[in-house]
Amino acid sequence: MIVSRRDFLKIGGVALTGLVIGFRLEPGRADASGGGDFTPNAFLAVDQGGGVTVLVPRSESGQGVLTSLAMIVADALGCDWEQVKCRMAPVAGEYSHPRFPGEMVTGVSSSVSSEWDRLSLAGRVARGMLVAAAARRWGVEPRLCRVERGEVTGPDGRRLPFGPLVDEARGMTPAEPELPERGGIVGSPLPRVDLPSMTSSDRFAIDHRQPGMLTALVVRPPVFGAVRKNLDSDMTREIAGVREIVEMESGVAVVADDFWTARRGAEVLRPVWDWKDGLSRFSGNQLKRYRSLAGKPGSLVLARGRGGSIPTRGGILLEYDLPHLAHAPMEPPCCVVIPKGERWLFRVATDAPARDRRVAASILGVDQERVELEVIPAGGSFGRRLFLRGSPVAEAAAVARRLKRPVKLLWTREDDIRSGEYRPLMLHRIRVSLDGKGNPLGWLHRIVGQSVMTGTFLETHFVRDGIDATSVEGVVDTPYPIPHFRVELHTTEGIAPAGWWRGGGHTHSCFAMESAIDELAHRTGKDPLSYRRRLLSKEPRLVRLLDAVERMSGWKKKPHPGVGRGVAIHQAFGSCIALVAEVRFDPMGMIQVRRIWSAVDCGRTVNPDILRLEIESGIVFGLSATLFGEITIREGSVDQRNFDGYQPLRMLNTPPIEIELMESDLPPGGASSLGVLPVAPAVANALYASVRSRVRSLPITAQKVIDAHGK
Amino acid sequence: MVGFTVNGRKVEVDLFPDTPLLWVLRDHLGLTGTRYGCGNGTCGSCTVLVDGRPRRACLLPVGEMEGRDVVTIEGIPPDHPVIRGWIEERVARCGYCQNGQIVSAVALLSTNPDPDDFAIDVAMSGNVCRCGTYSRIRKGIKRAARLMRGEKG
Repeated sequence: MIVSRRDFLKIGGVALTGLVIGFRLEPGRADASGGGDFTPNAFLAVDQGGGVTVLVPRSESGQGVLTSLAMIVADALGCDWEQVKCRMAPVAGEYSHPRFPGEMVTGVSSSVSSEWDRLSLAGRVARGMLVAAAARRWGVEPRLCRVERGEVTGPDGRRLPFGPLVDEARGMTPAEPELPERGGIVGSPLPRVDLPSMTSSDRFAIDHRQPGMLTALVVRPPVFGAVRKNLDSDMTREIAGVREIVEMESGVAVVADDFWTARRGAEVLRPVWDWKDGLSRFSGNQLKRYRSLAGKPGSLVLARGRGGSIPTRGGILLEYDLPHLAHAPMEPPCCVVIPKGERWLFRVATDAPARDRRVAASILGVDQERVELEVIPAGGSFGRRLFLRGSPVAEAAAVARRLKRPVKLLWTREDDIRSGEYRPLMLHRIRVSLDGKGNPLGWLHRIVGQSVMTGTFLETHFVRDGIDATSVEGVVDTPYPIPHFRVELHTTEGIAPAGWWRGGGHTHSCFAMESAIDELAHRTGKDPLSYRRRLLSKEPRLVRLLDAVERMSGWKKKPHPGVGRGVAIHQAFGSCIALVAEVRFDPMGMIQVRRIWSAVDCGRTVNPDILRLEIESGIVFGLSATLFGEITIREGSVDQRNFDGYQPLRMLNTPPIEIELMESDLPPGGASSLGVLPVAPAVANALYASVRSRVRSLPITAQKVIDAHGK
Repeated sequence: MVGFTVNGRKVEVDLFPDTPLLWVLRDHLGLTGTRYGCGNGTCGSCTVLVDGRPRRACLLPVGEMEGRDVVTIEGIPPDHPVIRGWIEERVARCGYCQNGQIVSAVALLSTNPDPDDFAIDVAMSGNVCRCGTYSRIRKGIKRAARLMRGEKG
């Protein structure tokens, strides 16, 4: 049956080797590379020369999605990897995130896991159409054909590369060769396709240059919640090269010929603010309020077992607190807007390009069709480029609308650290009772903190009945067998905007759970790793990881005096990770993390080299937060201004990190956030093992270790 | 007017003397490989060589650059052992800090052709990488050192 090119290729009821497809793959639109290409769906095109272009529906920010997602398509297609070019997809409905209809989203450690099925199918359908074309040309059964490295081979050995089959493949119904073989690309440690561009001078939005382009910096409220009452811009306007002042919701933009002129202009701008309640916002007071709230019942999130066995008083009381955290990716937010007649081009690194295009069009007062948004690779994201609150797009649109000239709007590092959005300050309070064997019996867990998803474009996917699933993840789904378990949540107003920070709720729940379990192990005189292995005996995936880190770290061998080892294990985003940290607290009061070992199970691995870097990247990010990460707020403003106040981990603080990847046939799980999660509890656990100081508050500082000693 | 050399080319600029070299390079000389990460000398993304020594361009007022010899990432040939080492070890993750890392590494190896881990820590800890590629940077430097010594890599 010939299906016309314009028709949807509806695969709804057709079984492809037993796989029943519930969604449609629309044939690709008229391709930019000119007529003649085979575009069976939105994700790939094959040209007459056999070249393959893959359109990747995610934003590259260093996590390697441009490569890993293209590998899934290419593998299923059966082409030669050398033939593949990868591009980030344009903003279009076809590229919506499978879990978030209508939105293109990169984040929540979900790119590979959410696209595995769809991109595999896209490749297989295309392969099936090419096979059908070859089979028809040869007059043979399609299932007697094979596909390998961009060629179809018939039963008698005849071969045709993809290129010559392109014309006939269009409109063919896909046929399945006998074996659903994969192309040998998935699982290979291929180098990232964008590796050569890493030393270029124009990889990032901030590098964009064109004649007549202006630079805009925004002067923002110095205090959260403040509102602008008045503005004196006389001194700014006197500076040669300052072109315009644009007032907007998030502040006042100073637009000038170049960055330094804009900055000089911003320095002498005199806005007048109404502080509102801003001056009363203190993170120290916030924590006190949270402690008080944690003593009261909250919204019920989960209850299982016998209510009477949940300890509401007595038992073992454990409390953990974590501070606000900034993302601080190396590239501060930046958006370029270029007017092109009746149209506008936005060039920006963003994790939500469909939302950004809508917002830009709305601010410009035009239909979305007149706004083109080109997603540029980001200099790191870690969640920073997901939400509107910290985005430069609306601001750039407001400036562009006024000026109708090319504009580059950027945030300074100070803007990013002081006026961005944060992983919220969080408190966990746990009351536990143990059974005769020392296992958790009754467990009351209260979580206090802001909702990250409320008020965002993803709210409906995560918040139900007032409960933000990301506030309680990692607790409600704990793999530890807790017979009588009650989880309650106090969702608070917060004193600074909340954001998704690499790992989301798991970043605080893992610290709470893995510290608590460790404390229970010590209280019952058990080795913390063996205690976990016994509790998790019905979780073979997790036990395998504990066995691995036990072996890797030489756990059973007694460490040197003053040196301790701590372990943590967690599951998140469909993956699991175990980690051992070896720490020395020296008598001069310095915390030295000497070595880290980690074993991970991310299900089926698309690219082991990318995966390895993702895990290590997460571990370094997590260690940075563990030892130095703290945003404090006093009188409504962030104390920290730049990297001198918000210290990042540097090479000299970074220990050797050994990583083992477990083999698995399970579907791929998330990787980019995974390494972050177990670091803080493993380091806290190691410090307890070495000097009997239990630190329950992050970041872990020498002072806290000293203060906790003997308590 | 201030005159200096950038990547072997003589330039003359007429700007406010407190304009940091970083922004002279990026906004006025078209050399955007030297990156802005902090503006206060705490991250190293803007590292350039001035008279052969690694300096943070965001802290150098252009008024003090008279007669100096500046080398940016654009002035380092693509087949330089450090850049080859960076590609062979697949150092970069997002890439934003890497030009600064490479310039710092070039400076290190120009004075110390066989640096040990301590020397690498000292030379490189001014360059922040939020992506955490430090262990690969270390490997990249050691590979570059081997290439420079004529070993196979």
